[in-house]
Amino acid sequence: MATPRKIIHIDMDAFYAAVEQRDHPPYRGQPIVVGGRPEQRGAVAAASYEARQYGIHSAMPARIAAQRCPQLIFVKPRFDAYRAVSQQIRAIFRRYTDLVEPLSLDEAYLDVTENKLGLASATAIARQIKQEIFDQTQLTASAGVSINKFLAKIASDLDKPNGLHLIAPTQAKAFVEGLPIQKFHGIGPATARKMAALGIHTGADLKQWPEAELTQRFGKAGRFYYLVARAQDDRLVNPNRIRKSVGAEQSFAEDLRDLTQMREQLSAIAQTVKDRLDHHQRYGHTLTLKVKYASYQQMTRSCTLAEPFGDRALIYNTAERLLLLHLDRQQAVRLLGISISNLAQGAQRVEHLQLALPLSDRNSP
Amino acid sequence: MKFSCTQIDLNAHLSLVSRAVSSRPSKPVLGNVLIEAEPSLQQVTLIGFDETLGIQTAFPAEVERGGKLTVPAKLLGDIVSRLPNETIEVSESESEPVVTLDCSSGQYRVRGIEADDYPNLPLVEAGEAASLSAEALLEGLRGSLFATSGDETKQVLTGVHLATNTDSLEFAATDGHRLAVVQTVDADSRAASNRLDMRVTIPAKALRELERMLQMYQETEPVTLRFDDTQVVFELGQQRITTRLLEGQYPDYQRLIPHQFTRQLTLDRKQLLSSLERIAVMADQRNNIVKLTLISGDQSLALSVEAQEVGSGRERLPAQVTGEDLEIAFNVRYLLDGLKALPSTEVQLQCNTATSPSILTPLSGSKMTYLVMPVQIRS
Repeated sequence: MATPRKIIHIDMDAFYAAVEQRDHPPYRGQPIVVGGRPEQRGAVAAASYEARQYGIHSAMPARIAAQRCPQLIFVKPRFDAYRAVSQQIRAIFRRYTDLVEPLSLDEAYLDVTENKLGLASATAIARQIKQEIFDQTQLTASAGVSINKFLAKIASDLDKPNGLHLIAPTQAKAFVEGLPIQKFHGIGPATARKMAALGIHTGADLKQWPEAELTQRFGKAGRFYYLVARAQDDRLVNPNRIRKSVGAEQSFAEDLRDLTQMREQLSAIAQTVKDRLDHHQRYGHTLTLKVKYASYQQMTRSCTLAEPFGDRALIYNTAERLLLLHLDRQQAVRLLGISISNLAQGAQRVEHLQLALPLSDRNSP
Repeated sequence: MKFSCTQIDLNAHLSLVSRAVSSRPSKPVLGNVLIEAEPSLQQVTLIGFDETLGIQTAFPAEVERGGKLTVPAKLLGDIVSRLPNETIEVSESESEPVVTLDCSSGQYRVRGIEADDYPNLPLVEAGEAASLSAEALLEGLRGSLFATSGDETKQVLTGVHLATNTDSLEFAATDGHRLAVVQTVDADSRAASNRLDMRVTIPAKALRELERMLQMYQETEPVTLRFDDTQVVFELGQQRITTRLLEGQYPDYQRLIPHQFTRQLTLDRKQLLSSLERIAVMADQRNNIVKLTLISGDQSLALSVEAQEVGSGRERLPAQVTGEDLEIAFNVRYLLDGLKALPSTEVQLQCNTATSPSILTPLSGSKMTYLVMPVQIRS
């Protein structure tokens, strides 16, 4: 292989919550979450580090977050403010390289193998970027530095918050071998459990498995697992990544069999999707429901409407209808996801609106 | 089982029942058609069934030996459709479930499955029955089927709702944006459906097949409809089609139809249809929207289309207009669907505002109401 690439993954710490704490001094040092309120069946979009001590994390239903921490402060998201910060940090990235692939407002991959300042040390670049971010925004970021996206992303998570972690080319293989399986990005709690049942607890265990067998047991993801167990990830940093869909999914620590629980989860996922659509300023006409069963069998069902999926109720109702129609009740569910595709840019400002008949029940579109 | 019949009969009836055979059957025998030969009637019966929709048909044949067997529908159909137009002998092997087709061009053997494994078509015995003329049924279906929803998540909206009124049978269908209601009155239905209380929602898929069967139906005998809470059967002479009903409350659509209008226009149906078909060529390039302007001053209707970066078009039609001028936009496809289904020479368009339901009705012929929700144009 040629000389290794130098990839940095930058991830702002508790981004939305940190911006709110920066702009509202009374929130500082307090457990706050940004997102929907419990009475709206909302979900947590971001939790401050103070809130995380109570076991609160993003995508958690707000109701549960409120139970875990009664004095929790719920803050309504201000996407304009987050977008403004996002633009500031992206401008900083571009001073070093044009190979910037934003994953969201607060997260990006940078390929600094060649960089505008001609710096040899990716770690030094990461340190400078973190400093510039802090100087300009008073916010902290964590950086991961390594030879590919997979490792850089894991590295940025290792010393959070305000961390900087390097996985050097010579360490890469050993690092992955020693890595507990649940720390692999792309391996959620359910997959981790299944792997544990197979005796796979670390990267070294995973490496023992032939590709064919991993693909057979884990589907397409099997090939990815096979490669990353060898510290290989050839995905390029793509600055022109065109977002084709906006979505969210949630895998469950325990498989769901009960429809009420599935509805509750779906409701929180719908809120997350709605928030993400808002902050990307996109809207779309096609909704896809994804269901993964305990057997790892995956089902997706889509529905396209003439009107864009703009509000949480429409997203939830459509997803629920698809679920009720297509769910195989014989199987337990380990993951639910909703995504919106067929995207159009801009705020949801429709010039033409096909009016609907006020049909009484839930059949109204 | 051994019989002979014409290739034309066998092919026509096979292709009819094959429409109820699933291409992805839940068990192998459901990918087959059931063939039954009856010596006493000198008749062959064919059945196709996908567990929701079932079609049964019968035709005369020279039956030498009775019996029944199921045979892969697609395979058999693909062979029979290519056989020459002559008498074909169909016989079942004594020792195994195989049918042999003999004709001048040669011999084909097709392996089947014993008929014992084939489910019976659901029967409606305890339910109620109505008798309808084929014409009335066809009229009701033509005026409603097009307005059903193609979105399977919309459940009851994917079917046509049939309900008896005091002296008529009402067909209703809506996809949430438009609603078609047809009332048919005919001697047959009045006599037999006396005091019959029917409210059922029948899947559009089955009704499309029924429509096809009705179009080929030659006899004058009325069609018998039997139903219970879950199933409906239509009997047309030797043919029958059965389907599961759609469950769930059908929307109370009558309350959606306004009875007072501030604006009304009457015009020639064919003229309007031709204008809209031209407008649609342009409208299809973008968002299907046609703008109508009712102009009472010079008694006309203006139609216009703006397809951004593609082009535009406008037309003007003479019309009897009452009420103030109004600009209102619609999905041109919805208007075309309705105008094609309306039976009269002249039609009436009634509306109140640019954002409230409008209705299209025929000035003569059958009773049909077609309600369309407009497209709201925001500035």
